[in-house]
Amino acid sequence: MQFDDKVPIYLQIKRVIYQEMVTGQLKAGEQLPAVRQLALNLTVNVNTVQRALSEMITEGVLTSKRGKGNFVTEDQQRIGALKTQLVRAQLSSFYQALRALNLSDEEIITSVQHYVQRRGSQDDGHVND
Amino acid sequence: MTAMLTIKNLKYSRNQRKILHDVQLTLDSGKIVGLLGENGAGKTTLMRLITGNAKGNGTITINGVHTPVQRKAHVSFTDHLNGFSTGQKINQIKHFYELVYPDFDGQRYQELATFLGLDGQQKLAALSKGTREKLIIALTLSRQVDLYLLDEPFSGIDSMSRKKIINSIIKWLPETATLVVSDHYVAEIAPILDEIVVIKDQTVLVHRATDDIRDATNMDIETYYEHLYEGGTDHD
Amino acid sequence: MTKSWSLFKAFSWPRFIRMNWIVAFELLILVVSNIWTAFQGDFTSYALFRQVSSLMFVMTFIGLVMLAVYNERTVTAPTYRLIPIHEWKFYVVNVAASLINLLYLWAIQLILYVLTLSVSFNHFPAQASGLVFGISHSDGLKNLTIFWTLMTVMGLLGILVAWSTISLVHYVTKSAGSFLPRFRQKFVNTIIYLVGVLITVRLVNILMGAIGYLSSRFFSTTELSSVWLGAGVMVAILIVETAINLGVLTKWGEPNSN
Repeated sequence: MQFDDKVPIYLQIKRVIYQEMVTGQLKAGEQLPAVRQLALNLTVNVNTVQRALSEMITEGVLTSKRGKGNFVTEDQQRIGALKTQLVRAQLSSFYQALRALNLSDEEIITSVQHYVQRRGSQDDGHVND
Repeated sequence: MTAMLTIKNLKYSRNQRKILHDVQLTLDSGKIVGLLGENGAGKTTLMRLITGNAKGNGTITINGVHTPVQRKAHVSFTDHLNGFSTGQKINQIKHFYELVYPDFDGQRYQELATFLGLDGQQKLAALSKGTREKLIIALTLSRQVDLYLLDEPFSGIDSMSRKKIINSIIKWLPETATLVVSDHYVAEIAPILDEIVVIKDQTVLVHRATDDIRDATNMDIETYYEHLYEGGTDHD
Repeated sequence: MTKSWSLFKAFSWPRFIRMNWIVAFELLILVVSNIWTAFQGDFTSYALFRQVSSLMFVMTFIGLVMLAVYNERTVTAPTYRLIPIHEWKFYVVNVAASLINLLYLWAIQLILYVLTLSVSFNHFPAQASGLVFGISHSDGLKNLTIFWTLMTVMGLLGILVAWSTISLVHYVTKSAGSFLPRFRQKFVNTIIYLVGVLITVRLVNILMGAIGYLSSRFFSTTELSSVWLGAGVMVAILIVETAINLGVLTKWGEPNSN
């Protein structure tokens, strides 16, 4: 995959895995590929993957089983919280960007409603970017 | 983390012209390190000094040993195969390596050769630049040592070969080994680097972790590297 | 660390192949030229023998030069110098690999010589028998053995000295760059070349003297001391040169950069 070389790679790796967990590509309790395999898939250094994973283990979204590998947490609540956290992060930067354009809170809400309605009818529910 | 390579007060000149001086460098085990610098900055010379093939002043220690002969047993360097006649086949060259390097792992070579698509019956003269570089990488990584030195493995080769080579590094580099890869164009290898070492003005100017650079400066590695050259007024 | 024996095998093999190319080339010349003479109707086994006895010197010389090139190329190529083995072992193995291949080439020449000799011996023209050293003399076989043994020893010593002189000139001129500026390098190089030429002249002198002495006077007088003296001088030169070569190789002798 393509990385933004301005942002620490381990943060970007975490983001990729978060995304897969929230969208269900990686299910609760599912085993992650081996570190080296992940490094190969992402074309990054093994140490960088290791750093991303150990931070995620500390955060509690991954659990490490000795000799077996790394697993997505079984704790659905934790994944739910992760989703909330990701959504909040996106909203926050989005909100700040619109406020920077001098939009009031009401204007932001109405423009979002307009946008979603038009987008929904145009490309049939494709809201991924 | 333990120091794998320690260089102290290293200097080197040719024809009484200073090429490197006052080089101090410590590399930990288990890292991929980018050795950067302009053409002629002394990247290859530093690698040759580490292998013991270039003879400078100062101490170079690899995992506790420091004589050139002992160091050679701990370092695998990308040799450009100029010692072989162009009529020799890939398999004959591999046989030579197997014979003279007790740490050469034939099994690992087979895996690498398969992954990189090398045909043992091909003659050296018939290889494209990319294939020749792949062969060099396969031979270099098939030795089981502590330190791997890859001297500009990506110069002048196509992007498909480059990807293959990068992947074989990720896949076959032993966990505790350190790999130093030199390049004058950083962007293509930046995502796989733990650290960079920049050589400028005949010495080590910068030695820093890549994610630390991204974190602290908000720059990509290429920009950061170019930044080091901006405003520089020295000519020599 | 690499074992000397492994290195020896690795160094010998390509040189062995090259020696066989020389032999193949020699046989090709013999076959083609003799088919040609047979076609013209003047083929004799004696002419074949004459041809072999002159070709063997040419081929040995070509082999010598090729092996000298191998000796020097091995030291300058990083391919070989990255091998973890002590410099002195490297040096000895390198020369030994060349020497064994030269002996192989000689052995083949000897076989050709003996073969063609035995085929043509009975067809020698009366006046030509003296061309085979020692054969016309009364106590032929014994003298022949001594003659060839001495020739072999002197020849081997001469070749070793020639190779080590080439290496000396090569190493010293190449290493001068590591501590001298360019113009002083030229000065040093000139001196080294002069020394090289001097040793070569001396060497040729000794060998010529020995050969002349052996072939003309060996069977009449018993005085061998000058041959042994020559051998002693060569051994001394060999030891000194080898010591210098090893010192230079260890301290300054860098292979080419890639």
